Amino acid sequence: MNYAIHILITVNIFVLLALALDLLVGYAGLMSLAHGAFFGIGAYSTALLTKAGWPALAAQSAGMLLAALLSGLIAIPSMRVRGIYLLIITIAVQIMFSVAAQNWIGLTGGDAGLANIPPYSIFGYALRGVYFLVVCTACSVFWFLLCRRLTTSPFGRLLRALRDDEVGCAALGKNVVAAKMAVFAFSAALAAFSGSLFAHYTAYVDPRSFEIGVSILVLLMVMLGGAGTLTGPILGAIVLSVLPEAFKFLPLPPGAAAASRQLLFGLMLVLVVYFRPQGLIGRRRSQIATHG
Amino acid sequence: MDSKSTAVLEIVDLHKHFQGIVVLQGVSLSVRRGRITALIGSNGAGKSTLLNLVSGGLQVDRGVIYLNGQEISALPAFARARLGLARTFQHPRVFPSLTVLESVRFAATAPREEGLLRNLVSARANTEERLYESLRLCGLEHKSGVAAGDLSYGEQKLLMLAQVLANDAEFLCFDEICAGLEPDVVGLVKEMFVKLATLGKSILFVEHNLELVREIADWVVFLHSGEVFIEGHTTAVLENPEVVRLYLGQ
Repeated sequence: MNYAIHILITVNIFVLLALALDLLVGYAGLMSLAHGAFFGIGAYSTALLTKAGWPALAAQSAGMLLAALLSGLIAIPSMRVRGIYLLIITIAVQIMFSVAAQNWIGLTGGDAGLANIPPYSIFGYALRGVYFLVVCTACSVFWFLLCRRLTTSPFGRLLRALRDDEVGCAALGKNVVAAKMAVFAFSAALAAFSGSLFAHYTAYVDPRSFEIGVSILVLLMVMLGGAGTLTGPILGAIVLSVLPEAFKFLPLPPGAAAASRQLLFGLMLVLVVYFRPQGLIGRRRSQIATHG
Repeated sequence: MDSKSTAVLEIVDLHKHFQGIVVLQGVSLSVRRGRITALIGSNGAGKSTLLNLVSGGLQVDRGVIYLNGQEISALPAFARARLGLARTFQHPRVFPSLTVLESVRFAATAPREEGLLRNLVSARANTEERLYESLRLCGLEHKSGVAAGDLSYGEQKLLMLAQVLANDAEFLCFDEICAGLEPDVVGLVKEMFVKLATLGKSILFVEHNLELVREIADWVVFLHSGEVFIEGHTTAVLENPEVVRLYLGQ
């Protein structure tokens, strides 16, 4: 039972991260491998502030605000570059965060991390186990509905147009820079929200939990499920969170089990990307336009 | 001509060069309200560059541009658009993942309606009538659900035109809008230009087809080697022997 709850909480945390990244990658067409960093900013903010006596919601909000502000580090260069060049900038931001988390020992505890983070609490009630799962699930539903509202609104249409042609947007009076900064800030804040839940759940944070591998994993979730669909990345998060756990139950020879699981995992990803480049749920652009 | 009082667009002593190559040198001209002004000239004369400088796609090296008396030379493209300047491009620039209807709706939506925080709270729809009117005028109403990226070359040009109409801008720039269009569609565009002018819109368009220029333009500016060689009423310019010699090589 506890194992199932653990997996479901993990799924929820990654669903939130995948939703955050889908807004950027899927809708605005802005690639990012820095979401591990924003996830970490939320987690460290919660760890530091709740240990200092802040209420969980206040600490979570502060982390979101900080991540939104720091997202400007990427949003400002994105005025001039996009595609692979923007991706390189986001990787640089991710590495800067990892280096800071490892070496700013007075603040982050360095590689030893920060322990004894209090559980998530609302109005003084500490939420653990199934109760925390309920909160995480409610948060996922809330953020999904909010993201869906955004993506189906004029703001969402602006993001899609931005992805297609920035010059065309500017010619129609759209402030491309402001739109990019807004979506970066929103996406970073949502990633930080997820990081805050993670910190409360694990009660411990260290730099390894927020490395570039996490950013790549979340990007894989988005691409696997179908970028620009919201539901696709949710499916991607479920698959890529549950599948490695499921592989643990395969009767593989001892000693080769871990490597075999990785091999199977990689093979599945290659097959999906080859046969469904638009993702498991994603539709081709022309289908999206014709059918709604 | 009292250009200051009637000019929508005023260009004064505009210069532009690219890596040492002078493209425009000291161009001055004005576009009067409600007038259809054609910009003609040989390839490389600087017509598209001039349009890009006016719309903000390029920054001026020297010179000043006024729109309705307000200097816009240093403003970014989106700010100029918000002041009432709309343009189409020589090659179609549409939003492939938006449908035709979404594209004109996007063009018609005021930027303040597209803010993130505003849309978290509420989102209002545009006036559908104006959108369908734009599509109807461009003959695209039956394509409203089709992805812009799936339209033909000519239809994409018409969609750019529909977006400009839906945008309801006051000053319109068209860069070879009729190039590559079927003759019946060119007729549609001609009608639309005249209708827009009667509605008080001011038009500046780049065109190589001199017959088309003769039919719809009130005023013609002939650019040659980055300078305004001559400007004046359509017939006067098109029948000027020097223009004929320089432009048509006769």
